[in-house]
Amino acid sequence: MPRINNRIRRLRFDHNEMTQEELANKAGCTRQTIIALEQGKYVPSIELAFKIARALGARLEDVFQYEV
Amino acid sequence: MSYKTYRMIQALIGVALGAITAASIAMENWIIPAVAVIISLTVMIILRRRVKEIIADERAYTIAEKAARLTVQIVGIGMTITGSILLAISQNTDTDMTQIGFTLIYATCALLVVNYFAYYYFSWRMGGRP
Repeated sequence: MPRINNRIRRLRFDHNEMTQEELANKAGCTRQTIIALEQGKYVPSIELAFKIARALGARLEDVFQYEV
Repeated sequence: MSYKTYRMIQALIGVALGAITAASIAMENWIIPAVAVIISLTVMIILRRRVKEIIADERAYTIAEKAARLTVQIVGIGMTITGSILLAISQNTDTDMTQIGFTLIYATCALLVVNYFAYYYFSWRMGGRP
């Protein structure tokens, strides 16, 4: 089954231990969404994915990986 | 303003509105609750704009969409089955039961018609063919 994984948690800690709240504010979403993303329970839209990648200072494919 | 403060004010306005409506019903006055509803709605809209935190994002909308779809399915099927059972039991002899049955069936029809037009509207808005 195709699955989209992410490295948000790892990148947050690499990014000066950024909190979920800080990332949510930078990406323009709620903290609950960041929690759901880190737990793999929610797949973001392309727009939010770009915003998160930008907030983490990384490329989209460095944050999200598509696995078949 | 923080989201927490906004929620607290929202709850207080809700309680006040309920009390005003109850008192107005006791006084048999419908103007006071109508004015109270308009004022409270205006205040809530103004306060909502002042909240700096993000109240709802795409995940919240996705959840709302799924909940709405499930609600339409449950209510639609539930009302159809209940209405049909009531009509079958009443056999057009029990007037109250027949009326309730027809009301439920017609309400389901209205629900489906609104859902149909809403679907086509959003389909048109999003550029695709229905």
